Amino acid sequence: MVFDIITYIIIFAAFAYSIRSIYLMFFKKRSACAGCAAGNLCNLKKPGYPHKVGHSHFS
Amino acid sequence: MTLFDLQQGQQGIITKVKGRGAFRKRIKEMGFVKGKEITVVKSAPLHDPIEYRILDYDVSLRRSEAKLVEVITLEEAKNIQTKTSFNGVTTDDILKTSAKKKGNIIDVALVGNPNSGKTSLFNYASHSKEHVGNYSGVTVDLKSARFQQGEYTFNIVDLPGTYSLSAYTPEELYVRKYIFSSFPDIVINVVDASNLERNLYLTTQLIDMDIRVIIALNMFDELTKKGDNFDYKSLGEMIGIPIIPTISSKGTGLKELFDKVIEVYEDRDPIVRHIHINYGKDVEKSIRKIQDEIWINKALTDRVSSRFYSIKLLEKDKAAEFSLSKLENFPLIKEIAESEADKLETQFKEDTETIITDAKYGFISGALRETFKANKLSRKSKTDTEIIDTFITHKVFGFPIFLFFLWLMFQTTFSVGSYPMEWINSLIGYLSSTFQHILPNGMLKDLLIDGIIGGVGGVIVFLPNIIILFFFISLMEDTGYMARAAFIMDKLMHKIGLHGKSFIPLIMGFGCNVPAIMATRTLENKNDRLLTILINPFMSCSARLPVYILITAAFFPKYAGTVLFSIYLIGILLAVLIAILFKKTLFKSSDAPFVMELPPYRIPSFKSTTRHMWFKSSQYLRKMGGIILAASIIIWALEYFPRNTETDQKYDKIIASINQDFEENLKNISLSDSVVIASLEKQKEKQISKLLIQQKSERQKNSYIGQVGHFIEPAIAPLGFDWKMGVSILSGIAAKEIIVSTMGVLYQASPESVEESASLTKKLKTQKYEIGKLKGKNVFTPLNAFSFLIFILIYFPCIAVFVTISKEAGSWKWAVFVSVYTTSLAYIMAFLTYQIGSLF
Repeated sequence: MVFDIITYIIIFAAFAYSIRSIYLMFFKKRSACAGCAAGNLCNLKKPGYPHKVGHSHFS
Repeated sequence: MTLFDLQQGQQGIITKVKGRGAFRKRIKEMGFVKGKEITVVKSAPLHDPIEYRILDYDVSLRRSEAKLVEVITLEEAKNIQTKTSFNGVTTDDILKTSAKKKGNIIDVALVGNPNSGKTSLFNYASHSKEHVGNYSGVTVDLKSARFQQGEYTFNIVDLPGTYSLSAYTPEELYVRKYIFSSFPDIVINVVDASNLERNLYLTTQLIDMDIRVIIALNMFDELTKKGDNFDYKSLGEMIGIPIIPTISSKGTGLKELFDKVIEVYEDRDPIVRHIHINYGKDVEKSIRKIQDEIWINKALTDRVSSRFYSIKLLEKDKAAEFSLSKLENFPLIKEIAESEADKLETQFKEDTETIITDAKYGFISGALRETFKANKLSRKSKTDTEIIDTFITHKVFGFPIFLFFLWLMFQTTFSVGSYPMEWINSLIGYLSSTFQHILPNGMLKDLLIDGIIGGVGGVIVFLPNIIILFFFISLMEDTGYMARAAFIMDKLMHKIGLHGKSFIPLIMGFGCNVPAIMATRTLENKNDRLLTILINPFMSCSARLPVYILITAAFFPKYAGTVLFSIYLIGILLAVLIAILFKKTLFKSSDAPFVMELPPYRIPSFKSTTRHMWFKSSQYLRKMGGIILAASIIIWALEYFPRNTETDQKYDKIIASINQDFEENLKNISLSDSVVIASLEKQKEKQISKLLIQQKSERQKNSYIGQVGHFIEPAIAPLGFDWKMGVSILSGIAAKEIIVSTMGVLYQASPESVEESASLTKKLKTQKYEIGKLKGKNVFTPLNAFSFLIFILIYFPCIAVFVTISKEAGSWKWAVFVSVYTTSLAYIMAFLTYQIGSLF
């Protein structure tokens, strides 16, 4: 039973994470750079440019 | 905050005075210096000007001027002290110290020609890891960092490389706008010492802008190695700009450079002065006439140079016209500028842009004649770069060498990568079987083994291949071969209406389409940009590589490297054909001339190559822990539910009855007959195992994802795909690696002959249709596997690329267009491949 609850929590978290990622990419106008493509949206407080250091756009 | 933001009666401490020229000089002389206290007395009736009290006298400033004085409030000053050594009593000295601390933050912008080493300087100074490469246009975006040197903090901004500040390319305009809107305290002009004349052209434009500039004479070692004699100190004195020699890749001279930044910022450097480049009597007279009219707008000229705008108006620069268009007297300014330009053009029989450019190069040439002496003795008949280029860019061998390099890249990616891939595969198999034994049966066990290990594990095995691919891309970028590839491809690109420069974003697409699309900003022509963006998704990104390797390893093991290469080649050919089609229909415009720098070859440093590979690997692993993990869990959940349906109950009943029959049979057999008992038990287990596989298969069919898969199956059946392949394609819309993770989850139901922990490749090879007309036949054949590869190569790029296209092309319509045309084309191509292949 406990294991089942853990499983449901994991599934819910996965759904929430995916929806958040897509929402941020489309509606927060965050740059869809390589990092975002990697599923790691920039940790910017302000949307758009400039990007923080360490976040490369280049392959 | 600025002085303008202070409320009536509020006090502030001056931290910085921005603006330029006479305004800056005058206001400083009036006591507006760092650390001085200032109070807002009152505003004039229409809130302009505002009266301030400073040094016990009242002074009025216009709002536009007040905006150029940065201040902190008394509270902020106290806070700064509290953080350090505030003892409860606020004295003038304390406030001054606070203001100085706040004023010790210097905004620095790096400006320079492409490939002059700005990003290397930026990285070394701020310990950043931004990507650098030996070709023009690596940086297409602004990047900022903060670092400390002594008591000063530097906010350093790396801007895209530009040859000039005309409104010719988006980056040139971008850099110009940045300087005029962000007012960096100091601009560091990074000049490539091995190419002084061309690099100093940009310097002449910065001189016209009348801003505080320092020159970083970069790659100084290359100049000294050649034995050239350059009296840079004299040149600095001549043009009023301090020049500091640097080798940014090694960090040499950077401390001295930033010490000089501090000196200039604090107005302590004796060299700094504003000079006028003499454009000749007639041009100067015209500039003066336009300037006289612009000067009326003090709010503008306090911030930006009227001379710069006058020159730009003479050059008929549209962006300059737009910037001034809001001025009341703009019609008059424009009229004067046009009449003066006409006059000069008639007189010189040249357009004004050429007249001014010639004058600038004349100035540079004169300045260098006095300060620079080339060591003619050391000049070889041919440089190393020229010798290498005789082969690499040879009109006959150039193209085969390029193709061989690409083939080698993919062959090595596959063959060398297969060894570590095996090790990771074994590790994943071990993890899977360990969890199988230690975890109790249930949902969590299924999620961990089938969802997470099956999904993420299926993709993570390709990490070595990705690293090898990026090693090759890094080699191309750092050695200077990238620019040569563009040069070699120029003729072909011309045939399709593009030029070689477009090929760089296309090659970058092998890594990731997102930065590749952003790299199209280096293209001057808007139509070329758009066209390059539209064909970029055909360049197979590294995210598709796992799918290719998985399928080629399973179904084309003997020729895996060649098949892999052919897929990439098909992508390039399609890009070419589509470009021709679009050029003839959507973008009918003349070709842009091919102007691209071929940088000298450089041996890439071990550090930069490993850093590049490390960065890509960590990015890939982060992706595994992020979106791939989430997607694998979702796919697993959609495949796992609903549970306890009628089908489940039906199978449970059959299994129970088999168990019951077995028990009853046991009763009729003597217990001593162990051979018969063992045989019955084996038979029972076989039956149950078969039923469990059937149950899993039927459960998958009736699951949420199975329902979706079966819904789309009729549409994809002509391509030779089963519903699981269809679902994998759908999931790849989010990110291409998810295709493999989805296959990892969906193809978990292994046939009897294959153990659960077997690799995904093995499972795919042995996968059979469980039900329907094709029952018992192999799901995958080399033909439908190839058709699948073709579909993956061409169809919808991914969400990140979709968003990037809409942003870079300036409209959602283009992103939608790309999605529709690529997916339609993918369908047609996969259909033709499968159907034509089936005939043989």
